[in-house]
Amino acid sequence: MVELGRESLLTLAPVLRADSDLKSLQLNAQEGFIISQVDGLTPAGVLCDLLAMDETTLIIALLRLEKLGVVRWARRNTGPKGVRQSADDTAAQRVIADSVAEDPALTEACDLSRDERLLILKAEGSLAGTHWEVLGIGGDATGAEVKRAYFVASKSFHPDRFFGRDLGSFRGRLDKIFRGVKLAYDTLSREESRKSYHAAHPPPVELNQKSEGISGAVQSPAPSSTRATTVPRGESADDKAARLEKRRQQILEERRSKRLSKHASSAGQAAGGRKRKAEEIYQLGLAQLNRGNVFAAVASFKLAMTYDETNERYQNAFAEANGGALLERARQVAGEAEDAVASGKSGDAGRLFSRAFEMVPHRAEYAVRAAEQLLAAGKTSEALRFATQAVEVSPNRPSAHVAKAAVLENTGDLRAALVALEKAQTLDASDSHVTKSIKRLMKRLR
Amino acid sequence: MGALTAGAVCPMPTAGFGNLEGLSRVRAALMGPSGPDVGNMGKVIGIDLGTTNSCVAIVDHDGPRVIPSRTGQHTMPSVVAITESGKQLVGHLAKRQAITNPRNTIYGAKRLIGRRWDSRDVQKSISLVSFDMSKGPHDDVRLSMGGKEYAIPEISSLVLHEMRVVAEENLGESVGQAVITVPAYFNDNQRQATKDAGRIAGLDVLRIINEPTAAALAYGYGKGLEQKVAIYDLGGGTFDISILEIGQGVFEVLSTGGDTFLGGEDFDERIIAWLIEDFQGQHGIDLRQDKMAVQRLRDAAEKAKIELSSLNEVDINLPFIFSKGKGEALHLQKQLTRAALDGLVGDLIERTVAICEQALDDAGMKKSDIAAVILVGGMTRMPRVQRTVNDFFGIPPSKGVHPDEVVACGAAIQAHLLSTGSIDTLLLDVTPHHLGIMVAGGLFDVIIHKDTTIPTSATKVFTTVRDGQPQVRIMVLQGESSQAEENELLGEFVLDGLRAAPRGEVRVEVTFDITADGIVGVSAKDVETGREQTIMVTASSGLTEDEIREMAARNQDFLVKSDSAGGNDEVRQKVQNLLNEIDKFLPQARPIIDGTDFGVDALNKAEQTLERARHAMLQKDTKELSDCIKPLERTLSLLNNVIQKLGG
Repeated sequence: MVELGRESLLTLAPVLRADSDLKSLQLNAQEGFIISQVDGLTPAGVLCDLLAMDETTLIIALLRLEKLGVVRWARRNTGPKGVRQSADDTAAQRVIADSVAEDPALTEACDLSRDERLLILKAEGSLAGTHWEVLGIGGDATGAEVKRAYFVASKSFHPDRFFGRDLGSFRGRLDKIFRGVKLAYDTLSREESRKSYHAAHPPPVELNQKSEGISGAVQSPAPSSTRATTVPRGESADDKAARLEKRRQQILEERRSKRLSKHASSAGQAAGGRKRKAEEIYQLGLAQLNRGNVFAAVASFKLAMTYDETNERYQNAFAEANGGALLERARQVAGEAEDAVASGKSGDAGRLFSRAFEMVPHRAEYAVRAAEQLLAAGKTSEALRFATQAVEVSPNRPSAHVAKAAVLENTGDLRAALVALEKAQTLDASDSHVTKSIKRLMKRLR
Repeated sequence: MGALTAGAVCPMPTAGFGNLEGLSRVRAALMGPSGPDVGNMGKVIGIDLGTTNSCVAIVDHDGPRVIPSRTGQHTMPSVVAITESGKQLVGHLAKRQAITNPRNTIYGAKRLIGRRWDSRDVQKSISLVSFDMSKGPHDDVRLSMGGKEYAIPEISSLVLHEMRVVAEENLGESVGQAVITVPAYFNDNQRQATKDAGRIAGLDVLRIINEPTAAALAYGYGKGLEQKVAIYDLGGGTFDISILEIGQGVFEVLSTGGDTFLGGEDFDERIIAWLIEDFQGQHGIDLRQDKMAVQRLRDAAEKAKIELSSLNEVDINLPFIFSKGKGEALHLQKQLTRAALDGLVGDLIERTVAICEQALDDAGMKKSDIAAVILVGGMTRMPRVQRTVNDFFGIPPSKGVHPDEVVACGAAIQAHLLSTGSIDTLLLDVTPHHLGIMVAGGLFDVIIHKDTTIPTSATKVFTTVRDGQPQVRIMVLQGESSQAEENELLGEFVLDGLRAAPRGEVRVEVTFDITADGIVGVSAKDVETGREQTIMVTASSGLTEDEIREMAARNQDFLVKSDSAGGNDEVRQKVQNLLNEIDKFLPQARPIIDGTDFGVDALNKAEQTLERARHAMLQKDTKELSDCIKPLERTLSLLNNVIQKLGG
């Protein structure tokens, strides 16, 4: 890791490494999302606002990305060579840097680095979530997975890890975190208690993937993680300036609304404070949605739900935005897949399309594309699976049948292929391509 | 408020616990425990402070290893003695002279550490040991040795100090910090007493850990295992069983069990009793009356037991065991077979099986869940013990760990982990006993159950038992009995200023909190008024803070002396004697063999050995000196043989 001394990572800008091969890395959706906003200029503290993520989540994710060799850190005023830093942007950063809220614990006199403090504070904060979230597991986690998550979290936050150090207020925090982790484990590791807890606190369903969990920083990436990486490319200087200006406006606006919510919440510390806060965050989420920042909106709605678990409006908004976010992400992945097609990598393309389809399983077109590309890459059995699913999802889509037919023909099952083609023809008689194929097949059959 | 099931805290006097008020060091919460001073204090070691033998280990760049003594031994008897000339001996030297000096030789101090004088276990020991025991000023146990009284932690500190010296000599560096192991079944008082012994020996004790846990750590450290293991530890004085789960570098203790009075020495006792009974039948004489005879019997019994692990029968020969006066003496001669020994101790071994079953049950596990059984302690060399374990778990015990050394290695690993802030390996330990308070009727109400992973905390709500009761006395207890009296008292305090109200109306919330260091904090809160009283409970070792400091200082003085004299002197003397002997024989042997080829070689070699030894004497190099002893002895016997067989 880069030697950072005591300087806050929040003031540094993460930079994408030119040599990193994003495609070969198993990045999860969140990481892909973060990378999409990393431009080598924006400091991490500003990214927090852009991405509507809390500081610790972002820092942890960035540190992991750094470890993977995806990003490195640039000093704020010494951005990568050849990239002009706009005056607007630095102004925006200054505004934000001034208002980055500092938890007093971060400057307390004790024997922990800033990053360690951030990790501990973040873990402490996550105790407010459900046991699923504390352990970073989904509802389908097996007993062994629950145990593994518990062990990994223990290893990161057991007070022995910081033995002999002056921990100040963090000693109590670590004890609390460990107890929280243990409680979550005790509850979820026993059949009966898990069942009743499951009923009262449903596990997170977001993205069909596991929540990040208390020990996200040290956990290895989930093998089934989705990937979404869009990096601004081929952008002109003017475009860039416009984009930065737009972002600055956004940041300032979000700052304002955050400040507002802060004032309001300090006014109502007692009962109702949480509800009010939830509502503010919800409103923020709606604003983000209006601006088209669906990912930020998802995060906001989710946060609102943690403040007020029972509010149906938040749950509905979350479900809807989450659906939108998934679609958006699927689109990004599909876009990448099309890039792969263009560069002739049909194997990669097939994999990306299938991933996109798994994100939005009602979109048969991704399944069709997956089947086509997988077939081209010679992965016949996988191709057949997606073609079949495409037909199941949209039985009235001719292209699904055509794709299925192509795969079946490849497997040698000419009769089944013919049936599929005929189905396609009845759905769309105008496709001469289909008609030709039918003729060709009939000939072969004879 | 499910926790409101409470019985009632009762304002009882402390009857039945003796005068413990001054003893239980109850400190105000504000003072807090003084954290470990992790400064630049030299090397960090792990010590297995055993009932019969002790062992010291360290983790260096090659991983954990046992540190051998200057004479090459890996373990050292936990024996301390004072000779007639007033010299203090520890380890092998102390053990060797035990037979001739039984009253001033102390062994098995671990069985007495942290126990109260009037406890059943201590009272039982009085008749069994060859040294004198008496009641100390804090209801603790004192031993007399060389006409002086010693507290038990003080005796243990001598052994710990010797281990420290062994380590320092070997490493050539000072040692300041240590992790010391205790049986899993030790209560807080026993642990505290062990910790105090470390302090008296000048060691900063980073942590007290359980022997089976240490063994598991040594077994699985750095291997990336994912399995559940059982540690079967049958040592000199105690039996322990622990069930652990290992995964992701985490060693989690699931359950522990044991018996603090079941170990190799009990096996020895059985053999001794058998010999004594037989002798009495033959001669009508009770050998128990003769402390020296008992000590000889003890040695012979232990030796026979060990030999029976590899032989099928042994002869026990103790000539002149009893003197009838007028030059007449009785001898003891007896044969013991392996089968007969199995018969003598079979029930002891069976007792361990019941405890294993309980531990498995506590861990919520079946025998078949256990992937490996690790044997620890010298007693597990006994074939009958191995067979029993094999039969019970249905798998052969794991090979590849050394039963005498694995615990010290585990302690060294934990010391290493703590002192380096390791992120790869973590030990999740548990509370070995129930913790709770005394409630109305003298009953024990458990607040934190045994085998709870620490750090932990728990709260329970209690109510008053009398109308208008102004205060409650919170007595903090540890143990397994439902009767408060039968458990260990760790400390007590009073929460007063309660509102005058009918009984059952005032609610008092009692919270227990255990840190990773095992420090217990207890607070009581009047739910209504928020009035709160908190203590940090520090278990009592039977010594006050002042006494410990004084002993540590005294020990320091003794250390200076022993460094200049002590063991070093013994070795020098021995080398000098050998040199003198060889000097005497060499001129006689030289003319006999000088003409032969082999003779020239042998003489050259002898000269070299002599040269090396003389050099070491001049350099005062202790290690080199002890290394010289063997070659010198060989040279001497060679010369001897030459003169006897070829001379004349």
